[in-house]
Amino acid sequence: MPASDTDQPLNATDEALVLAFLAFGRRPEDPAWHRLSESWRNRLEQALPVIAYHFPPASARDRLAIDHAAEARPDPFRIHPSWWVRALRRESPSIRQAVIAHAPDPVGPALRRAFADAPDAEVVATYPPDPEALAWALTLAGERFVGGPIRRDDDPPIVRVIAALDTRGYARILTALGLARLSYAEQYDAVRARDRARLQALRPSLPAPRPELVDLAFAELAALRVEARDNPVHNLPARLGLSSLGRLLAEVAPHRARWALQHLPYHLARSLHTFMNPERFPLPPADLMAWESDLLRAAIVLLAREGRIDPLILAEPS
Amino acid sequence: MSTPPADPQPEPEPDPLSTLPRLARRHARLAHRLRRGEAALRPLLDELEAMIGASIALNDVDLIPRASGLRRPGAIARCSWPRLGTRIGLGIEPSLAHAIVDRLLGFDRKEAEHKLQVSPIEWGILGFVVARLLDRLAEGPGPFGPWDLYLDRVGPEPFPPDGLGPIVTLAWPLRVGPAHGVIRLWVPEMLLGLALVDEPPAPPITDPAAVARRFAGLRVPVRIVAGTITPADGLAHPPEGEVLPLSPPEGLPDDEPDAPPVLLVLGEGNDPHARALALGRRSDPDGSSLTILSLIPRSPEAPAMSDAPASANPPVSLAVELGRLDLSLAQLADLRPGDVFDLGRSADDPVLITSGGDPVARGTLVQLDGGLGVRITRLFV
Repeated sequence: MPASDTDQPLNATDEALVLAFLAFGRRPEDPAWHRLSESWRNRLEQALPVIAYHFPPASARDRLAIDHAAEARPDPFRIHPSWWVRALRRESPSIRQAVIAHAPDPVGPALRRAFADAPDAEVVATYPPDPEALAWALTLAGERFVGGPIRRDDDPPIVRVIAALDTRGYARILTALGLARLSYAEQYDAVRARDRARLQALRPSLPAPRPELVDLAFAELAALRVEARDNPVHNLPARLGLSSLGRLLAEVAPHRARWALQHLPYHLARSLHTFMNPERFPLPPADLMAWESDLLRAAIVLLAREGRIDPLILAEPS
Repeated sequence: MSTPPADPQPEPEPDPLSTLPRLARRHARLAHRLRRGEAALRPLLDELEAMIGASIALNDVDLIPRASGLRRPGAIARCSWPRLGTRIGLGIEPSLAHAIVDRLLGFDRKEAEHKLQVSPIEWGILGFVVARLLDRLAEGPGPFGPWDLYLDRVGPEPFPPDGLGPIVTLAWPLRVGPAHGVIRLWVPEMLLGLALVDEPPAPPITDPAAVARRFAGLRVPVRIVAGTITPADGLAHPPEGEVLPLSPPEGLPDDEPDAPPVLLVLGEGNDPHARALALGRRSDPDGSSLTILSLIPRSPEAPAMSDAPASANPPVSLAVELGRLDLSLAQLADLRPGDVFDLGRSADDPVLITSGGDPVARGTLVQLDGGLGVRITRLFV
C-alpha cells in the first residue's frame, strides 16, 4: 500500500465507520467487520488501533454524537451572509420576508441590510407567521448549506486557515499567496514598492525554482494582465492568490470543501470554482499541489512574522 | 416484360391498448414472488429495530423494470458479490438515513430537517448498519446460495450500473418512527433470472381471446365528442342562452352536415389518456346509436385533444360531448369499423360542454345557418 494511503488520517466517513464499530459493535470483533470489502477493511485496519486507543466505546459514541450534531445543522456564524442573500434571491417575497424577519443572528441583520424589501418590524410583530411553516421556511432556505465540526484531524492546512480567519484575514492570505507566486517568479516590478520588501522576506520560505513552475507563475501573471487589457490590475497579488486557494481546495473532500467555501464571500467562492477542477490543472496534480502547498506555507510564515496570523491555527486539534 | 407492382402492405390495425404501461411477465412474476417472500425480510428488520430501538413498518415492494432513482439524494451503498461477479446498489433516502442515525445517537431533529442532505458522519454510521444487515443476511441461504455480499462503500455518489446489463429497481416504502421514505435496491436483471429458476414457467398466452377474457373486467370511460365551441371574448364560461356554432373536432371533415362525424376519446382529462380512439357517426335517424367508421392510429407526438383546459391561452375551446360510454378493455381491444353502440339518448337530449374533461355547462344542439350550433342552457359554475 502506498505510504500516502497509510500515513494520512482517515476521512470523516471512514473514521465514523470505525467509531460506529467501536461504539455499537460486538466485542472483541464484530462479525459484520468482515462484510466490508477487503480493500476497505485493510485501509481501516491501519487506523483502527490508534482510534481504538483514543476512543473506548462510550467516548466513541460521544464523539460520533458531537460530530453528528455539528454536521446536522449548519452553523449560521460560519456561513458568510452573502450565501444567504444568494439563496433568498429567487425565493418568493413572502418566504424571503419571513426568513429575513426571523433568521437568527448574524444572518437576520445581514439580510435586512442586503434586501430593500425587508419587512417592517411592527408588521412582523402584528402578523406573526405560523410557527410550523416558519420552521420549514427557515430550514429550507439553508438546505444547501452544510455543517461540520470547526476542526478535524484530517483537515488540510488550507481548511484550517479558512476556518480560523475572518474576511480581512482572507484578503491577507490571498495577497500573501499571490506575493509568494511573484517572489517565486522573481517579479519584483509587478508590485508596489512597499510590497517588494515582503517579496524579499518570502524568498527563504520558498522551494527551489523549477522551470515549469516559474513558467506557470509567469503565464498566470501575463494572463491576468491580458484580462485587464493593460490597465493596472487592482490588487494583483490577491487575484493571483485565488488560483492557489482554489487548487488547494480541490484536494479536500467535497463535503468539507463546501463547508470551507461557505466561510468566504459568495462571489469569491464562485470565482474559485474555475481553479478547483483537476482536469484543468496546467501541470501534473502531484507537482502542482506540492508547489501550492509550499506557497501556502510561505504565505503563512510571512503573515506570522508580520503578526497578522496565529501560526497555531495549523496545529492538529488532537 | 415488367413485373406487376406489388400490392401495398395493409396498414396494421392500431392497438387501442398501446397507451398502457408495458411490463415484462418475468417482472410481474418477480413482484408477486417478492410480496410473498417479504416475511424473509423480517429478520433484517428485527435486527435494525434492535439496533435503533424503534419500530419499522415495511410496505409492499414496488418493482420498477429499470434503474430508477439513481440520482436521488441520500446514502448510497455499493455492495459487491464476488461469487456471482456482480454488484448491487442500495439507496437510503435522507429522511430514513437521518431517522436511523438520529436514533442510534439520540439526536433530536426537527421535522423540517428530515429533508436536509446526509452528512459524512451519517454515511460512516450507515456503513456499519448496512454491514450488520449483510452479516445477518449471510446467516441464511438464499436462492443464489449464501448471501456472501460485501460492502464496498457508502456515500453520496450514485450507484454506477455500468457493465451490469439491465437493472431493475426494488423500492420499499419504509417508516422508521415518524419518518418515512423509500429504500431502493438496484439489482442486475440477471439475478432475477436466477431467482425465478425454481418456479414453473407460466403458460404462454397466445390466444388474443384469452387476453380479452383476462382483462374483460377492466373498464375504461370513452367520451363521444361532437365538436368544439369557442365562446366569444375567450370566456371559459359562456353565458346561459348564448348560441355558438359547433366546429367539428380538429382534423375531421365537415362534408355531411346531416350526420357529421364524432370522435371517441379514450379516458378522462386531457393527458395522458385523452387520445382519439375512433371515428364514428351517429347512425340511427334519431341519433340514438353510433357506428364506428374507422380507428385512429396513435402517435406519441399527437396532440391529445383540442379541448384545452380553461386555463389555457384564449381563445378557449370547449368540447361538446354527446355522451359517454363505459367499455371494457376486451371491447376496446376488439373495436372494429362497423361496430354499433347504443348511446342511450335521443337527438334532442342535452349535450355536455366540457373543458379538459371537466363539465362546464349543459346545452342543446340547434340548426344554425345550415350547420349545427349549441345553445347554452345551464352553466355549472
